[in-house]
Amino acid sequence: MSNDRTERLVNLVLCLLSSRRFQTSTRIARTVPGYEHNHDDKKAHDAFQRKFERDKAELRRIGIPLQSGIDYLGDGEPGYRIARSDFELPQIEFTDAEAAAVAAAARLWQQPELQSGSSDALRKLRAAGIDVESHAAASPVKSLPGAEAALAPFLEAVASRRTVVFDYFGPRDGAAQQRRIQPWGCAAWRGRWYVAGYDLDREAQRCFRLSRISGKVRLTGPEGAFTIPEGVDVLAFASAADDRQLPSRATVLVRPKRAWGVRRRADQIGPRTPEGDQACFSYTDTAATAAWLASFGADVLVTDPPELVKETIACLQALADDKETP
Amino acid sequence: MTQNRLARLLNLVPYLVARPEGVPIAELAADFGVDADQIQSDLTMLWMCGLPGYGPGDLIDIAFDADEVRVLFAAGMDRPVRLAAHEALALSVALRVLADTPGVGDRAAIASALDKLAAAAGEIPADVTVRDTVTDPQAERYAALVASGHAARITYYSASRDTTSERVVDPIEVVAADGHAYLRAWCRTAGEIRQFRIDRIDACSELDEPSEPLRLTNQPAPTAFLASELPRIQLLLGPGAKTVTDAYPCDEIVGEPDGRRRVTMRVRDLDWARRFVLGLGGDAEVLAPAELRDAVRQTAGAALARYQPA
Repeated sequence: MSNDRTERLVNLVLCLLSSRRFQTSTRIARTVPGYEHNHDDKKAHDAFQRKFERDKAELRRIGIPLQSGIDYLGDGEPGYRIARSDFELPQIEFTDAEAAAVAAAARLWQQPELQSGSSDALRKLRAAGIDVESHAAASPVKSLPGAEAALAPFLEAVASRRTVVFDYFGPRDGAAQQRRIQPWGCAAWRGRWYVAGYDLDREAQRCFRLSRISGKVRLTGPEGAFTIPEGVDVLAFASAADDRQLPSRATVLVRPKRAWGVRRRADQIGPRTPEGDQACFSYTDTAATAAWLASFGADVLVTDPPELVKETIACLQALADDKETP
Repeated sequence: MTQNRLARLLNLVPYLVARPEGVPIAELAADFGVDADQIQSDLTMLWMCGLPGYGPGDLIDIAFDADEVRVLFAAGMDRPVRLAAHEALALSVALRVLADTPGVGDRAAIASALDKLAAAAGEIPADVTVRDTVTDPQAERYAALVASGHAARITYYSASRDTTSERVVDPIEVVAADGHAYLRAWCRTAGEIRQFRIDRIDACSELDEPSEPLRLTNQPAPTAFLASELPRIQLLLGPGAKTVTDAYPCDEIVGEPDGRRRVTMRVRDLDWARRFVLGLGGDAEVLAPAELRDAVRQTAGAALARYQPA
């Protein structure tokens, strides 16, 4: 931002903050240095109005909302003001433990946008005389939330109700596909980030795992483009894949002193046979369990149930198969 | 992270108002994350700004005595600007993550800090839910172990080696990442810092001696253990094995015309890779190195032989 614009904006803020009355743009142009122009020159006046619009948007972006309205003493032309109660950080006091929590929160992010959001917030608190960082305490636990780069743009899009466009590598997709969604909310489940929303091309509700997004997330179209349905539960979307099956019992033979992973999982070991120690455990997902058992190679022999035996043999055959050599 | 200049200027005045005793230029610069020259030019600009009228009594007045800065007239900017939406979100989502992480701090304080921030921001424009950050019920027990400052003897199952071993460790911290909790500790047996996944610690007894992690350096997080000198493998992943790209850091992922994915990744060693590929249940094909391809085939062949009737 140019020096002139920065100076103009500081003066605009002070001007609009100094009076409770709405000030018309004509009056602002006459008062605040940097806006002066010949009101009767249409070109100059249009240029002023564009400049003023851009300045209002910049103030909104850094958290300064302009109110617009008509001053009852004026000539009916709409004007602007900054209400002190909207502008100022309210009085806020943290206990030592709360300050320590805020300091820890500010250090959590690895995403640059979220890092700068947190540190800008701390600077505002510090300007109000609250130094949370001096209360930072060593914690025995460190949390490393998912560092998905798409999180910050999605949070912004949800907050401003804007449409987002991104490329997504779905579990069944051979290539990343472009998606257009109206995002409703974000959630973290088991250390991963998800977004749920309305997919404009598929015309249905969808949930996306942020780690599967490839490339940049773009916000497009106007703010306030949609409303978020009441009671949306993003977490329910995220965990929907976790369907519950009834458990089955597996019986396997484990070579002596081998396949410790199977032994750890077993709730019953023995008797010993010449082919190995018998081990039993419960499982739900046949395919995943067979793949896991196959990873122990010849140290494990699956004996029951038959579908688990069959599935394990299928895994091993696929692994042992001579495939084309590149 | 340096702040946008306008935001910094609007912060500088209330910062000085809150510190009427004066602040040295160097301290101001450090607190705002810029150099002293930048702060000088910021103050000079503020000096030229003020209230309509813009006469001597209307402009912001700043005094420099003996290198200390004080504000004499703030032109109505006594308080910093409210938290902007993105600032309040960054902190409040982080607090929600902390609130869902066991052992990380005072839950009640996290919750009340969240309420106070929401009040200070006006509104927090997006609701974010955080759940099951750590699924291991033992995480808090290990947080207590770290807090005790004692060394411990643990029995640890290493899935990559399929072995269980006993070792004495000097705990450093519990790290919550990827839905799991890890104990980061100096391992006296290995002579280096290791991360132990807590659900794989089969037994743990606290010792009556202090934890003395020998090298408290910046070791990588559990998700970032793959350094560039580790062996590189290339796999072709079928539909069932595609979640590999979510769970492991990959150097390169290429979609093939047949819908499979060609993935290049670094692994700790080839024996680990052999177990890893075997566990993908035939949905993965090893492209390179040939040594790994042969090892996988051989292991699977030997296992299959056990199912053939003699």
